[in-house]
Amino acid sequence: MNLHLFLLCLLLAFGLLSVMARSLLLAGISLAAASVSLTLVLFEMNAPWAGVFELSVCAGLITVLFVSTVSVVRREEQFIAENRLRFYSLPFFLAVFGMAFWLFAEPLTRALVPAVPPQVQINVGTTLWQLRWGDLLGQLCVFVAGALAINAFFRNKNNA
Amino acid sequence: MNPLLLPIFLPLIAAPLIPALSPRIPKFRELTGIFISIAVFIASVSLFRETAAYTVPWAGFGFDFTLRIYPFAAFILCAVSGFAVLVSLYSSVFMQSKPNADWYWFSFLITLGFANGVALSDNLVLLLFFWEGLLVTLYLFLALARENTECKATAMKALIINGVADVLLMVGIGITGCLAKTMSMSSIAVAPLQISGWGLAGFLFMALGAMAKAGAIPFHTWIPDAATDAQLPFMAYLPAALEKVLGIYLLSRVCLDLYSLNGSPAMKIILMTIGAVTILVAVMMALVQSEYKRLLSYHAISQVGYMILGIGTGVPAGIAGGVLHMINHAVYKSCLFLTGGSVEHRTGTTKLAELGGLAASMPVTAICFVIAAASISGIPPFNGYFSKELIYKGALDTGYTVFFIAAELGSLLTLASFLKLGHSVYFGKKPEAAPEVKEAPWQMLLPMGVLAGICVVFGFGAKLPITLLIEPSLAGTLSSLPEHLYGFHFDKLFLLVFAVIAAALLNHWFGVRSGGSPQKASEHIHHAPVLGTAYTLAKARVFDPYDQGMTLTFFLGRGLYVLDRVFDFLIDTLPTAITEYGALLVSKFHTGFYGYYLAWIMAGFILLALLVSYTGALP
Amino acid sequence: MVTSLPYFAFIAVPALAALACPFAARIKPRYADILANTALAVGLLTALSFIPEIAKPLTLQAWNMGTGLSVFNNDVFSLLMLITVYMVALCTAFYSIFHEMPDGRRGVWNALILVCAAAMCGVAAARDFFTLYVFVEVTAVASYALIAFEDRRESTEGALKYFFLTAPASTFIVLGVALLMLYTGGTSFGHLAQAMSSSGAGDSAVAIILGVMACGFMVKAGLVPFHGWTPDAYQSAPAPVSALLSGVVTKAAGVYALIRIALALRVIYPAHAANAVGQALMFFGALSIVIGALGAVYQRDFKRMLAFSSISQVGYIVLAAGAGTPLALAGALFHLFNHATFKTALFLNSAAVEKQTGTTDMRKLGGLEARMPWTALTSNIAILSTAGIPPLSGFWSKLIIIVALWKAGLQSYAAIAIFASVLTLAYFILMQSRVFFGKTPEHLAKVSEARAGMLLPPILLAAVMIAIGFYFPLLFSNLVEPAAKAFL
Repeated sequence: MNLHLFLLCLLLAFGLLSVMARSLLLAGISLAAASVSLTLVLFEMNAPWAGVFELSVCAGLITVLFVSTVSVVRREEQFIAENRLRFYSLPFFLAVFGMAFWLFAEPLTRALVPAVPPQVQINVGTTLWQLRWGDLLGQLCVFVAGALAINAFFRNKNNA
Repeated sequence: MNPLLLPIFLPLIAAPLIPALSPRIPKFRELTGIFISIAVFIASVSLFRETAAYTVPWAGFGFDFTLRIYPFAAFILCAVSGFAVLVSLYSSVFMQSKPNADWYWFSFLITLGFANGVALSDNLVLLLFFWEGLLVTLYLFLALARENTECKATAMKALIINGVADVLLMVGIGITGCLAKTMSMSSIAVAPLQISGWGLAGFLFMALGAMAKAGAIPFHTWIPDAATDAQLPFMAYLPAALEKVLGIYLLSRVCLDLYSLNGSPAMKIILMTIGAVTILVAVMMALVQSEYKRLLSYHAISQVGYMILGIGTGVPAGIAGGVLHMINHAVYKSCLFLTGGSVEHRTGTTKLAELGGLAASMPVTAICFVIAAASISGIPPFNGYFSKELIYKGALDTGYTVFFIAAELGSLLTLASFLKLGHSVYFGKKPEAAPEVKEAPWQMLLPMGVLAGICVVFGFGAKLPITLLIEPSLAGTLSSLPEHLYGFHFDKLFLLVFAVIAAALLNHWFGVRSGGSPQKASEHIHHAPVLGTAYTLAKARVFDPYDQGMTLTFFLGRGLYVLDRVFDFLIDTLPTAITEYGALLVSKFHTGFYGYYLAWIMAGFILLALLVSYTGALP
Repeated sequence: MVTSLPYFAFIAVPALAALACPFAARIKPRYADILANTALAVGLLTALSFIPEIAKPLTLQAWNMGTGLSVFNNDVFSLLMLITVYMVALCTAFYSIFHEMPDGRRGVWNALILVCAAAMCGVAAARDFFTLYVFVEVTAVASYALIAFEDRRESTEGALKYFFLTAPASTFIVLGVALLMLYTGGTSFGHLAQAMSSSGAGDSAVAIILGVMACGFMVKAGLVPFHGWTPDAYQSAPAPVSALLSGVVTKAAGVYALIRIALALRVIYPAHAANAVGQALMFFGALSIVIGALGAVYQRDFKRMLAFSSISQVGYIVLAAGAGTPLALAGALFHLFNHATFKTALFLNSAAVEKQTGTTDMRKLGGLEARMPWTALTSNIAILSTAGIPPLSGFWSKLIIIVALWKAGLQSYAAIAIFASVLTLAYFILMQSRVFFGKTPEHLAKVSEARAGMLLPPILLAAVMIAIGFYFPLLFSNLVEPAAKAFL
């Protein structure tokens, strides 16, 4: 079992935990942990830039989450009765899916043999500024939209 | 303005004015009617010697607005408008106190316009258009004649019978047009079609349509009903004159211009048979009638048989005889109807049992009646004899003497029934209950007199109508009529007439003796062994195709209703139920629960994966 | 190369205006409205002005690796999408002027609409699947905010469902893009085309990639069975947002990409027969048509009925796209545009009705034709056009689709399309009769016609429908056939 697979499984486990956790705080923490493991995966795959960006997102994400979680959670124990059966079905489906994927992995990987040989390495700068400036523009739009959305929601909350 | 358009459009333009203006202007409708008729007559006469054509492209596919004047058409035009003048004068007095007079005059003028259109039209589709237009006015005349429901039923009957006939005509025109690849009659006349294969169907349908208009069996059953239900001038105008003229005109054009009748002996026999049957059956029915107008209407049907017989012979004498008979018949038959009208106008009744001895008080009417009756019976020297003579000669020429015998027998019975009629109404004793009457007014006497006069003129000057009217009309389609065939001849046929007269007189004397009064002069025939049953059945309308057809339609209607319910279920109830079920099913699935929707997405993904892996599994 | 610059402007201008809107609103709330409408109007006119010069064929053009400027597309399809997006966004922004909301929020509202429009233009102009994905996400965020803008319980629920159901969709799309990157070394349309035309044994790979991507885009488009979010989101969103969503967001985010995929498939599959993904598209399209129509029939809320109707109509578009023949693709594009017009008109009218009467429940409405004649008229026209009644525009687009299906040998799909048209007419007539026809009940006797400004967009859209419908026969040989031929 190589590192790569271990890290992926870790990612999956933390993700599962964050969905299934009963406590909001625990969910937030496991999400942060999942994000960290993703960063490690990226580093392991020799994509340092991607890893760095992911780390920054993780950091920002954790900050925001913790702040909002703390502000929302008033009491330690706040139980809302819900049907846990749905949640326990999640790992079950995950397992089923995993097995299915294991079975189909072989023909899939065979099918997805690259049609063209991989491109020559281009550095990040060229990629971002020349080849993918459209995506950057898109990203800017995401920021604008996100800011506006937050404004739309929480301004209202504050007013109300 | 092309003069050819006048006879058609002048009446059509004037007609709507009548319902609009006649409430405000007294006597407007009568004056308009008379003046327009006179104007059209003058226009027709002025076109008499011309040969011209007028074409306007109309609707593509060869449906052109083509008018053509040539001797035959001119002849018909003059005849139609001439009758219009006479009948309009007559109607101006007769219709004064009758209901719906506005609509009567309206229909009168429109009929005049359309009839002229039929005569002048050179395109088959245009002809059909005008022909079918006459149906509308026929319905108007009949439905609005009196304020009772019988006339509406008669109007419907006339409409349906004529409508069916017009459909046949339409089909025939369609086939003819397709076969000849043109709708222009004058183009087809250059090389008439053969009566074989589709041509047989085309000829048959067109001939049936034409004959139905003229009133042959089996399309005749509405005419006697109309005689009792409609106003009299209508009878004098349409069934007596116009319909015969137009119907025989079309029939002769079909047999001579559009198809070559001589090429099909079978068709000739069929036509002659229809003619002979019409003559005999109608005159047998006429003989036993006890009402003036009904009796006359049956005779009208009977005389059409002569015309069809004449044209069906295919020989020049017969055809000329048929066409001559057409005009002669129109003259004397309308004269007879007009006399009936005078009697009705003055005495208020037309039942033979209530009339009698009117010769003394209505002499002019009586004289006209006698002249016309003699004409219709084929007694020389009146016009009827000469046209009948030509028809007899034609029938003999074909070699089938049975038709000749039928025609002579028809003449005999015609004379017998007119002896009965004349004796009952004009000569003989006056019943006690009958009121004192005067002669009819001059507006009614004048047309009668003119027509009777024409009977005499065409009789004594028998060569006149032939050379003036018939020969030019049929020129080009017939080898010319040998001189010796027309005009007065002292031959076997002439002698035969006396035999017929003698036989009829004998029959009438016998009938009066056994019946007791002139009205009952035909009772011995009425109650003869086989004929008696036939007459009873006829009275019960068993032989009336229309009435039988109506009964059948009732059952058909029931059956169609059941079928309709089945279709309704299939088209309406079933799909609605299925849709409802489907919609309910769909709405059950939309629970609003997020997880459920997510499951759908996953299911959809799996489905997609399956579809993608199994290519071509779907249509 | 230079011509891609204006396309960049189509994205940048609304985005900048969006940034400026909140500030403009601080000065005076109306300024935000004016700014938004002006920006969109200018954009629409510019887009329309490109029509004469555009003649580029609709191919997946090779991506030029040297210069970076050719990032944005410049063919007829993109132009059509741009025009559609600007038209619907303008109608929405114009209607918003009359929509009730607290003054302080106007700036954000208009800004969100502008961002949404900018993002959709980005989708339309993108020449790369990843770029397309990014802009699709922007659209999602902006739509989410717009749906939940008015803080009501059901609109929050609708927005949540929308977001959480399109999250897996985004997953699928990204997965597909990643597989594409793995397989071809790049994510642009050009790479895909290159890979498809060069490889012979790569059919299954292409099918997998496109299939996975198509799954994600089908969720965004609202096809059955991926449509769970559609009825709730459309029903609960504020009225102008429903128009925007139904009119362009689903089109831009989902259908556009599906049609691009269908175009890509034409590279190796000129006829539809052996095409796995195309067949799947057709199947889901047909399923959407039928289930959307059935779902709409017995709805009590007319906005929900319109939502199901949208599902059905999008099904038509995707069915035609899946068929893949040039005529079918032309029909799909035309129907896309037409649907934007009629659905926008219908939703805006429903907004007017809701505003004037206070309810969207059809059981409580009736006889509004006497009180709101213009609304009723434009609704009638839009409905007849949706159902495909000549001589309106909807008839022509449906006819083209059905004829194209028939000609391609897909008679059963054509039959389904025709049958669903009947259903469409049925439920729309139901809706019209319940809302507009008949006698006005007492509680609605005081209802007045919507304000002139609110009526203006539907009237203009109705005019567009009628104009296209009447002019279409004239334009057929000039527009449709070349467009069909342009699908190489």
